[in-house]
Amino acid sequence: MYSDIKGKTANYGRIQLEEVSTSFNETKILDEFSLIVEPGQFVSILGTSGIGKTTLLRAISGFKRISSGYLRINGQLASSNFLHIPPEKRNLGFVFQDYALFPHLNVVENIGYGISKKYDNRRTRVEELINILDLSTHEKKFPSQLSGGQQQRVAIGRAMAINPSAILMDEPFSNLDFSLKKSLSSEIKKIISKSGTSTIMVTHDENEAERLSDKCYLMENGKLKDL
Amino acid sequence: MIKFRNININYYWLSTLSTIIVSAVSIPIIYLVFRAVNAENFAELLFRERVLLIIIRSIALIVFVTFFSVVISYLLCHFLVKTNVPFKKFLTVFCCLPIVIPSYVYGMVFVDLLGPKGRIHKILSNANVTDYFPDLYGFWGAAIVLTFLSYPYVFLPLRAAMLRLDNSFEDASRSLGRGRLKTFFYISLPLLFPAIRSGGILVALYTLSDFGAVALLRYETFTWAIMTQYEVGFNRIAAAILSLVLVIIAISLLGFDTLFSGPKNYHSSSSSNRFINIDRLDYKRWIVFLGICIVPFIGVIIPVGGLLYWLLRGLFIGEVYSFNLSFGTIFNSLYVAALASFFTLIIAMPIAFFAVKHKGKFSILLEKISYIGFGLPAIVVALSLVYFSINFTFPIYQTIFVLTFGYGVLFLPVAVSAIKTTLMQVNQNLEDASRGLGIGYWLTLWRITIPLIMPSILAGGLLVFLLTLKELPLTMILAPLNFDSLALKVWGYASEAFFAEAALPALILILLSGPASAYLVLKRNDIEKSN
Repeated sequence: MYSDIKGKTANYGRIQLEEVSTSFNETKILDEFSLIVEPGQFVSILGTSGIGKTTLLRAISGFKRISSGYLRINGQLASSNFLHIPPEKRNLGFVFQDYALFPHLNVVENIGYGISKKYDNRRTRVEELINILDLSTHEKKFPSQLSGGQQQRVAIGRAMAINPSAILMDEPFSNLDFSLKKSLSSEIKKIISKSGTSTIMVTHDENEAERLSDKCYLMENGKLKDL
Repeated sequence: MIKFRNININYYWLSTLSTIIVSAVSIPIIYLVFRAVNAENFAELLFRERVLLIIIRSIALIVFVTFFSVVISYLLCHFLVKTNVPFKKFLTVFCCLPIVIPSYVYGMVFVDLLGPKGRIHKILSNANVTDYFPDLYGFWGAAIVLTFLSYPYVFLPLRAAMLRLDNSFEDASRSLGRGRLKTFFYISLPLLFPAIRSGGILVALYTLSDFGAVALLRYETFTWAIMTQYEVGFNRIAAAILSLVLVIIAISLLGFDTLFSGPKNYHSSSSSNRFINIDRLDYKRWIVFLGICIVPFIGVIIPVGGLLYWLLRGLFIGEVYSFNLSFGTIFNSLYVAALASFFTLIIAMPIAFFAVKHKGKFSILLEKISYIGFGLPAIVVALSLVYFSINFTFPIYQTIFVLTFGYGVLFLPVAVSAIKTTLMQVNQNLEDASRGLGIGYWLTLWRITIPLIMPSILAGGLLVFLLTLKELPLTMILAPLNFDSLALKVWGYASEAFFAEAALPALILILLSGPASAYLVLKRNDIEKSN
């Protein structure tokens, strides 16, 4: 049986990839890829479409197995060629490019989805996030009734609700218009920074990456280059 | 102002067309009510212990068949869509094939094989182990036969929905700490529920209206009782009253369906994550392969094997005196099935479009009424059309027009369901984009919406084609004089116990339906690729 990667240690929020390789249809997407994200750090990874940015996030979150190397979350081994902790045991918040909000659940239910029903402060935690994200007038609305910006906030709230070790964001602002993208991304960055959660964001927008991140990398041929 | 006017005109046309179609389709019910309420001893015939027993028996069969059809279909779809099981295309086609086996053909094979004094019974009695063999006559026989013949009604829409389901929903759930089981119950099942419900309702109505299997396996449900009243007792009033109860059950089923439906039009939120996570099974994929094969083996190989046995036995022992099967008979079957599927699609489209594009109480009501035809036994539809055409449209009595219309009434729900399920998933923005570029409402439907849902329209048409090929009671009653079809040939021989002679037209019937089934499934694979 797997143990959850939840225990708060000095390494809490540290993501470490050591020479990780993975392929898709026999094409190497990650080739001995290494990266360290320190606790509370906001890291952006830039790269053109199809370069493997999403695959990188899927490997970290456990949706994609790795063929070699070591992936550690909070200092604990999560993936290698002999071990694979399933996504639900990694305690990572994932913000999908299309948000992937559950269409049959309203805002409160979407945000509270990942919090165990046994957790006494479930309602308080959801309310807290709803207030932080300025969604209090939309609590009972379904995703289809929300604007793009509101959907984005719900997606962030849902990922943060589980107090994740780190948040992984896949082109989170690509579906927003320019002015909203700028204001919302700054706002979200503030909220995440305040919570002290480590973040890995993949994007193709250089300005956005520079503006939000503590550190930026460029992904090329399955490897990282420091920017 | 212009927008307001356009919306009203479009609504007006769609609602008028749908109302006319649904009114015409409702003729059988109007006839039924007319005959039933005119009965002198209405209450006496209705409130009987026998009627109550028939209700309980019918509902028990419906619940069993629908539940197990859903369970079987879900397992098949899961393994065929989400694992690397070998020969997926072959298995998918194979799993759809039971839909082409007429229930009366399977019923005969089942009785011959597993019934009392059947072949397996004889083998076991030689070994003196008959006490351990369960009695598969009655409920269990009918339930097994109908489950393995009707599960494709759930399998087809569920597979399509599973292929279209945005994978990121399940990924999101798992990243939030929910395991596979909880993700299944909280996310996958609710999102797939519209497809399960739409298929499940077809299975329930199919079971309610089936005559062949229940009659041959001696399990008295409404259809058998009604047929007995009509054919043996010549008591059309008693049959009409029983049919009325049957219609009430069908309406209750549809009401039950409405109760669980909500305003949930789920379409993929983006095309960014449309790949499907495939579970890579090692050697276990071969075990899964064998497990999947068992289902169509029971649904297809056993009845086809039984027919081949009868045919070969007839040929070798010399039971077959004359096959008496002309190309005209085969042509008639294909021609009528093609005509019926074209006609059914034409009348299904306004109802499906009205139900999705102008969702409201009125459109839902019309859609639900159009489903009634599938809940009525074919004999009731047929006799009501005979009555109606004799009294009101005598020139077309016993012509191909009435026969085609009868098929339309029966199979309208199949076409409506196939079109509606996909239409619900078409992103409204695409139509809005077209309208925004100055293309009118109807031209947008023609140039954008219909091409997008064309695979489903064709799939619905093929499904109607397959069902028409094997439809028996309605063809018997409404076919023009001297009209012959494969289904009529099969029944003609089988009812006289000339099983060897019945085997050949039955096998040709199945052979003709097979390629259509394969096309149906491959077309669905094209949808997958094009996305």
